[in-house]
Amino acid sequence: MSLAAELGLGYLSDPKDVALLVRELDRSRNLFEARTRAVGLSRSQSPEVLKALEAALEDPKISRAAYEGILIALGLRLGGDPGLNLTLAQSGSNPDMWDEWQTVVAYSVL
Amino acid sequence: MNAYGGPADGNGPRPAGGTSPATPAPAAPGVPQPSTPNRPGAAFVAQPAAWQTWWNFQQVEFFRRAPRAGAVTAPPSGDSVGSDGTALAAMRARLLPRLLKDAKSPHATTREAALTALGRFGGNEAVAALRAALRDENSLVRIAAILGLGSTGASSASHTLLHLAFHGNGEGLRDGTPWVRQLSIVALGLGRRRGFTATVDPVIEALFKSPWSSDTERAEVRKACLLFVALSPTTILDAPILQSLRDESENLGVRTRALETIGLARLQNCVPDLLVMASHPRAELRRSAALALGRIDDAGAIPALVRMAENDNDEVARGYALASLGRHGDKGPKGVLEKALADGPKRLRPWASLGLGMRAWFSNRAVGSTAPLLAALEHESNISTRGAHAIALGLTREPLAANPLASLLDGSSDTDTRQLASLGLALVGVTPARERLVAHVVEDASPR
Repeated sequence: MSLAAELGLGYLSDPKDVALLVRELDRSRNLFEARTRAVGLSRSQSPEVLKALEAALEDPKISRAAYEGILIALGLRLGGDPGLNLTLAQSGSNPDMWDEWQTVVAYSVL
Repeated sequence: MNAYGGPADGNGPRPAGGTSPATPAPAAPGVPQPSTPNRPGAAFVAQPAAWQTWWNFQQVEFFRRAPRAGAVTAPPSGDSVGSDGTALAAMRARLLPRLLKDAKSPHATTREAALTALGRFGGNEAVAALRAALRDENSLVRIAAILGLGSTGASSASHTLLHLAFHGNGEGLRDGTPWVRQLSIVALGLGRRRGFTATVDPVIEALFKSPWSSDTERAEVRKACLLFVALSPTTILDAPILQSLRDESENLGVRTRALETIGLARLQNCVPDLLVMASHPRAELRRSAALALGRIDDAGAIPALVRMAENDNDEVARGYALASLGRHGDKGPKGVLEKALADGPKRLRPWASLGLGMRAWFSNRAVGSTAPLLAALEHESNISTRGAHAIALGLTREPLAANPLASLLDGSSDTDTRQLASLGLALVGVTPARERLVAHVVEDASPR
């Protein structure tokens, strides 16, 4: 459940929550959880987020999943959102027509 | 193919993750995740309601926008990555060497993440590393490289992608890479958003019109070309899109994708055909037409949606029509949505609720929407539908919705409902909502 709460907190962009969100990111059990949390963090417009993420990259104790999630988050924050997820949203119309390659595209750009 | 739909080349499945083990990991940031259909031979997984699938694919749009003024924090000024351009440029410069190093990591997932980030902000300096990764032993890394080349927007990357789109191999790409043409075409669409020139567009037109070696390959290439247009709107495919739409022998997936692309790219020349498709005998085409009509500013769109919402014999098409009416904001008839919420079939109530929430979102005011939604939440006995009401209340961004949503979050034992209540609270975005969310993160932070 906390993944949804963390996405919401990232979106709300309160600088006070950055440390909590980075800590939760490091608790991720796998790359999927880490990426989902990282994307939540990337939604935050707080400047504190960038500082915290860059600092976390230097932490030798951080998990590999979290490290990779941070790379994804920094890519989103520093490079902008390509909007591909929105485009792929159209495939929600007829899920039985969802092609395998589109699923992979969606994963790959997250 | 592995469990999540990726290539089975020994790389292994991604972690089955998320908060619900019954669904695969998401394509979009956020939870819960979209589900793929059961396939022959696959383990059975519970299918979510149609509205849940729809929301899973749509939610990114709503979490991309900043919270409204008066929320916990003010909306940001400047661009989406902040207003301090100098500091951000310095950070990019600091991170680039690290990413180039991580692109050679012994761990495939690290290489994949680094290449994705490199594509996002590495520009020209990332192209060599991305090209080198086309030879990677791991197909997911190679896929990240193809898409990353597009994300750079660098002209040198466009040459590689054009070659791959046409030939399906070459440029050092390791054999066995799946879906090369489709991925390269999508990457070209990304690149057009980031700097590739319009010289790419006629190539996409030629790819769309090419006969290819089989019907299947032609259909897949055409769908990829339509994604290109959705990413980077151009009228160059208007004529072939109309031809595909009118051709009853055309692949159904291509036709549905074409309809949705008309909406996403707002191809005005194609709107008359879109309106005709709203009454096509095939439900799949009507569904896609309903979605597209939500994005089209045309005098015929709303009447067509009302007809579908009230009379279509396909439940999903009716649902999409209700949601699309909401997308028209103040221009849409609130009464149709309220009537469907109060008196319509039970299975349409989630859609009516979401339509009302979207109506408030897109008209940027909640006046008159919150009361029927609060009443619906209070009287709703179906657990799943409560989640739709929660999202709809969040979309109103009305502070009055915060307490009922917090109560739903605290009081529900259903994981999906709690997730949706969380997301609804975040969309409302007032201080009490944040405090509730923090409390739930902390509560869930027990050792795993």
